[in-house]
Amino acid sequence: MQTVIIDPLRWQAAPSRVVLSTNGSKPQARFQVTAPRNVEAMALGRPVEELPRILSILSPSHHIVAAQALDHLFGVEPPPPAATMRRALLETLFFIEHMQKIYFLLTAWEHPFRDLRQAGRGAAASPVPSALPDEIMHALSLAQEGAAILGGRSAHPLTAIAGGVSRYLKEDAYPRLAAIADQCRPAARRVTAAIRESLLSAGRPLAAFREIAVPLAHLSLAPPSESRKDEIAIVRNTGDEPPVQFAIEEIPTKISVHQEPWSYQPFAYLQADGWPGLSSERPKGLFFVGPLARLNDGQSLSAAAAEEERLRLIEEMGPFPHYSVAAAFWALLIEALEAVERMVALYQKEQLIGPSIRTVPAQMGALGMAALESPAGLIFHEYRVNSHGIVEELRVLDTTTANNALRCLVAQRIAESGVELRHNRQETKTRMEIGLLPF
Amino acid sequence: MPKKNIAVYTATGCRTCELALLDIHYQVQRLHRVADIVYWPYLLGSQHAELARLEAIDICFYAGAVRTHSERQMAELLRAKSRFMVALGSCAGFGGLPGLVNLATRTGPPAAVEPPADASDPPLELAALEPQVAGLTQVVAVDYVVPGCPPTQNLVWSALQGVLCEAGSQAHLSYAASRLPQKVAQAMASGVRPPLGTVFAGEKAVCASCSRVKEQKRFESVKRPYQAYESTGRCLLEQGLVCSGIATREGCGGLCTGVGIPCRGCFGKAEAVYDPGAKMVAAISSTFDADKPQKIDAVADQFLDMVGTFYRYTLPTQCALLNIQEKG
Repeated sequence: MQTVIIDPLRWQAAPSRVVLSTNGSKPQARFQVTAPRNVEAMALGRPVEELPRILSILSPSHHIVAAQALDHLFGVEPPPPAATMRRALLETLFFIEHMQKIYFLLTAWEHPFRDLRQAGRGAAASPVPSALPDEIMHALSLAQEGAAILGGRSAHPLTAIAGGVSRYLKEDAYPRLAAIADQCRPAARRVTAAIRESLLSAGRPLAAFREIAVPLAHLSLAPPSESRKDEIAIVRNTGDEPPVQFAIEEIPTKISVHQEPWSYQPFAYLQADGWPGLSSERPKGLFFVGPLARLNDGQSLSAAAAEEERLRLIEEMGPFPHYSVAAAFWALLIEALEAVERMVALYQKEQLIGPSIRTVPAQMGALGMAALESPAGLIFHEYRVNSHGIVEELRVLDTTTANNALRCLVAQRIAESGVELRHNRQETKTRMEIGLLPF
Repeated sequence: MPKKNIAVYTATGCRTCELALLDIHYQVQRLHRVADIVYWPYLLGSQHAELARLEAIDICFYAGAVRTHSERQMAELLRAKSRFMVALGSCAGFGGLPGLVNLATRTGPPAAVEPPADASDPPLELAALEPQVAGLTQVVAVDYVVPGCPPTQNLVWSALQGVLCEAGSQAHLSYAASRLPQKVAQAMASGVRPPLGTVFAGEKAVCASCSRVKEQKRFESVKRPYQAYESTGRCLLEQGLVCSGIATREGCGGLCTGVGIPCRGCFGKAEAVYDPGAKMVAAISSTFDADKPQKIDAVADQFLDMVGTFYRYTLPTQCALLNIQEKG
């Protein structure tokens, strides 16, 4: 048996590696998370109002969902300007996180610390226009400023608190936000067009990743509708089976986590189906979340540019659902376009001002919970507190847990295709890193 | 001047410090002119074997707390190869949020690795967990610290420029220089490397640069951030909110307090403070607006989770009581 360990992997939020082994012709790949985060251990015993700051260690979106869980715990509703400020921050985070992944993708071909003066000389060797990484980083820098204005900080936001946000924006923030959105919008369109033409179209480098596909059920939130007052979670299966729907409150009873001894990251699965393991071809009970899961719902998008791009994907790759790595990258671009249009709409002074930005809680419950579609997919928080508001139980579903099984299966597909195509170690490593990036 | 070799590594943390370095590179557009990044697993995909082959590293930026045995080994290896070791961010500098795990009675699974089901299965052992989460400063000798969760971009840039020994005017360093101790800012402006042990932040407490107005030093009752408090610019501590600004090193410019959120001490203790928790207890209790023991007790009883609050980012390294216990 031959064993190759790719350690560490680029661009992964949690330190990770892949162990590849070949015994005969069929390779085996294991995607391992090699260090724990243990946010539960950090949060238990803390005053519950501290969780939006503590749990943002997982990602900035956890700051917002934690504040929503506090709203539920205290039985308060944020005033409209506060809700808009949180939503505007979330849309900005969508733009930032998706563009960051696209930037990482480009660094597979372009050294991120290249000398810009020499960049043009090596352009022929790269499939990516040489100015593109710079354009993305410029847009990212602007969006980070927008997030800092709205959230106090970009990386670990501060301002979402129980019942609203902690402060009004300063007067000079409004024109600045509008300028940021106006600059990010054309940048998103140019980047999308360039990535589509240079990487995603037929015959371009990412087209090979259309073959790397893992058909799994996908989980996403459905917003309230005319017939339904509350948000619900929907699991759509891959075959003809009808979707499974359940209320947010039921997430803890519908989704369980399984712990393998070889990874510090647990695996989420649908409790009704039981833990199926990672070896079967179409493992029932496993699911994934994220941009592709959301687009797989098949709904048209409100922003014209994003909808046009979604239709281009359908024209090029066929109707949804899709399960490939290439489609997942395309989904990032589509959602970035959607996010930037929402930033333009929400970064308006009249939407961010009002008589109040905070509903002060009058009482405390014993249970707080909330779910949110974050840039990387559905996330869920549930807290139980004692009479002093100290956290006694905590349940967090984050996207690294939700997509852990998918990542293992993607790694396996890439390992198998690598053997077929006789890739060397470096090619396999790069393909593995690219394949895992959009999830 | 020859280019310096830089290594970047994150142990247990959230990658934000690494991304701060990437953002800096974009914003200054010249990191590549003065330094070669020779090892950066997260961004360049550098493998462990590449590190083993490197003979020497000029500057290593180590972010994240030390949680596993392999992270400790990496810290030791990087220290051995690096001329200057920089603890980047609160986790490396003080233990950070992961350090709160040391308060928990339960730790995360899995505790042990089961043997492979089949002898032909590949090796899948996980690195063992350390008995306690530690800051980098507890594991190896650290030359410089850039505090913050995450460190502000200006301070990251000032640290890069300072340790790389690239001369730059105070005007160029602008905001950062105004918050650095004068001798550090002067050294950097002259292209002289700041003294070992420099913390790239201020010396005084956050209160020194907080924009909020202090009116009267009276602490009547504890308010929690979910309760009603003034949206004016009045000092949060005076309003009854537990704010660690008085014990915390300045350098952020009062970023959290500026948006109405109490400081939780991510820059670590101020230079003159011995223990941030003890300082907070002393500072608050000395301003209790109560004269009878019963009243004082009533106010004191309102404080919850003082250890988790006063040592939010610094428990492994700056809680004197814990460190005394460990040393026996």
